[in-house]
Amino acid sequence: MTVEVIWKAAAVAIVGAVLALLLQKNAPEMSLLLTLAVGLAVTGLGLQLASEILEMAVMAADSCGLSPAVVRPVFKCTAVGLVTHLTAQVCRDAGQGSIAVAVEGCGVFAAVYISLPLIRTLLTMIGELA
Amino acid sequence: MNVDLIFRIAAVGILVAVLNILLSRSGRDEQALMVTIAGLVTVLVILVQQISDLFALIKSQFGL
Repeated sequence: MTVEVIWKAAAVAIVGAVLALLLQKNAPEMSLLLTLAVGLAVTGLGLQLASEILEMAVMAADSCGLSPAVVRPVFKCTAVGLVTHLTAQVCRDAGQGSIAVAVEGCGVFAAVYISLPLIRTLLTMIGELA
Repeated sequence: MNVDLIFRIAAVGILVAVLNILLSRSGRDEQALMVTIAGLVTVLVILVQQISDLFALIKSQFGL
């Protein structure tokens, strides 16, 4: 997998944006679905590079002496952030700002929930130091 | 996700838009609405599978 992915993503995004603009006036709901499809396609292209990046991150954490249990919540929060941001933006494109805010709120709760083990560990360490 | 899927969705969208305009101008607003809903359902059926595939990919990559 090479960095050619970015050229492909850029081309898909530009063509998709132009087609969505074409549909916006006469079929805004179809334009939104096309925007969603383009977002999914571009995200999928980027995720093809994610596995190697995550492997490198795990290796770096290992060499620093961090256990995977500490690093894994960071990856999960990244995924939650990605899904939340994409979904909220699609809702905003549809003109539904309140739904977007609700999705973002849900994303915040999910990220904090995922981080709870880390927070517990940190509080335990602080308690032991004190 | 195949890139040609985007062109298919765009083609369905253009078809729906054109039919919508034609039917609306002929005074058949209900049929125009039915065509729009049919187009939406068609595209949603395609997209739901792609959304599911993307979320499965995110879950597998990030360990969710």
